[in-house]
Amino acid sequence: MQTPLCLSTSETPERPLVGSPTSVDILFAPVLQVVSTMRRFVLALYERILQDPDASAEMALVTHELLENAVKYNTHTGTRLRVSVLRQEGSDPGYLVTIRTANRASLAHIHSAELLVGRVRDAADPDLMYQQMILSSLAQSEGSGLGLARIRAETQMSIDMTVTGDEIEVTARALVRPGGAT
Amino acid sequence: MNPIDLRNNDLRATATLDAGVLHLAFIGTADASSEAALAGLLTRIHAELQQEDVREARVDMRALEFMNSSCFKAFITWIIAVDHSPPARRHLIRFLCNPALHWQRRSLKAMVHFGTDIVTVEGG
Repeated sequence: MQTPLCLSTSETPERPLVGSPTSVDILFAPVLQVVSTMRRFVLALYERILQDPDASAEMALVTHELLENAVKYNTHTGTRLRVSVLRQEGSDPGYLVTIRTANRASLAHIHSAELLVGRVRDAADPDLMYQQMILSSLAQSEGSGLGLARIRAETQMSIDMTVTGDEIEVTARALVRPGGAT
Repeated sequence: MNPIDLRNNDLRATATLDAGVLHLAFIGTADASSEAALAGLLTRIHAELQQEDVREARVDMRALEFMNSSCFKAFITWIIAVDHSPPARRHLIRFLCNPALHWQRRSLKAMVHFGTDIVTVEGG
């Protein structure tokens, strides 16, 4: 089989979603053209669950940028995307959206990614950090390294990563409150 | 400038120059698979417009479903090149966006920062 594809979903839209997470776990070959297909798929899913086009578009943007990185720097045959949406009640109600990508990468890239994630995660002013990174990326002939900075500046999602051996998992997370604020 | 009709993976771009106004329109998706083509297109357009009397570039993004950060960088490069051109060769860049495509308003806002005097965003 050329393209490994594994998909599992669970959704119960007719019943209250309290405590009933929607989750998607997809493994696919690292092909850039597939990323837009995945973005369209999760956008439809986010719109269905969150009932908020603006927040859904944010989450789709995050999914796209993370997946492009996961595909571009993958050194193995599979890129993994996991998305979960969990409704939260209580004093701060909303949907906790978690987007994870995982791929295997070279040690050099893992080191670069750790530095980048640290810079983006800890930025006191995400907009300023994004503008500075845009300017410093202009001299690069390929790529931009701007995906994570864009996520942080345009969506306010938190970003983190873990490394296990040569596998990188990048996690973006946000609580989407009623009305779409994150 | 001769009319341009670029088709690259999921991206289509058309450009025509009419009475001092560049009409540049994008359809589809600008992502990693089309970033080199987009960067080349904007570099070519900028070079060609330097030979013409142009007062404005109207960039129609209303049918652009999505643009990734690398393609975004190509636009910033173009904006800065126009902004740094000699006064007689500078022109306005007017982005037309689609309010139904929610990423556009946020993303295009950042473009204004790099060309405060020459970039406007409408329709978001």
